[in-house]
Amino acid sequence: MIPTAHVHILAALLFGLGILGFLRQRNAIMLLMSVELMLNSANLSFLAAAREQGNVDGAMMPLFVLVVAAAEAAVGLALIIILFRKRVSLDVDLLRSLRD
Amino acid sequence: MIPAVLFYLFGAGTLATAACVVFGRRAVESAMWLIACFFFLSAEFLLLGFPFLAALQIMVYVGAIMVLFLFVIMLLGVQGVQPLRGRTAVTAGMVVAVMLASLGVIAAAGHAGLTEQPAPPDMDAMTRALFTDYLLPFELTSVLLVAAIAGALTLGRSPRTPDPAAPPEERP
Repeated sequence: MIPTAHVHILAALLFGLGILGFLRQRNAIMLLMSVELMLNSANLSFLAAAREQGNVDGAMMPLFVLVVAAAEAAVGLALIIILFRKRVSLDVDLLRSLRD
Repeated sequence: MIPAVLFYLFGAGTLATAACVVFGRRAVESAMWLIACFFFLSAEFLLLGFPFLAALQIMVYVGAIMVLFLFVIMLLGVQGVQPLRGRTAVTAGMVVAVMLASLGVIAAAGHAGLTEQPAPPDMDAMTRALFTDYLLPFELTSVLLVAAIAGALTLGRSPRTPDPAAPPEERP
């Protein structure tokens, strides 16, 4: 049998990797991929809790996270295409037009 | 016994592929590693007792979202997704270390462990809940998806191509 705490630890490590990638990378596409990693670790945690409690509520959440992730990817990638058209670079450090 | 062994095996695979995503040199390679990571995660969902979500994970994430990522990566070409020099990893590493340490403390303090085998909710209960208790959020997701599609289309339309229905512009 799989202890629930171990599933949560795996999810936490996965989330840590995702946030490390988010803070480390400067490529906008890589940032979006790190966000996907973090969303998946949250799904894993939800499912571990749902399994422990025998509860459907936790098992519903990944469905909605999936939909939100799809919407986020569609809009985010459209924004990335615009960014590339205007700047010919995906470096998020160059995006300073909103500063001050 | 065997599911537990498989769980740790696939967990190690998930973490290894996720590390390859984060530390990858090229966007295409990272996307491929992310697909592998999603397959491992789907196996984890299956082992936890959620076959429906495991199938959805592959269909939606690998079949739709990652294909979209790969499309955009290839659309932008090599110069668009050059490997950029990473930021100083020290700050990022410290943030992650603090966060993981706190999470570890919470995980260690929260649960001593279960005595009996936990039973995941079955498919019947899940679908019933989806169309009764969660009917409103379920319907709202369709609105969200339509809004996302409309937004992506509006954003992605090229501003240079003129609208064929519009009258021709006067050039001075």
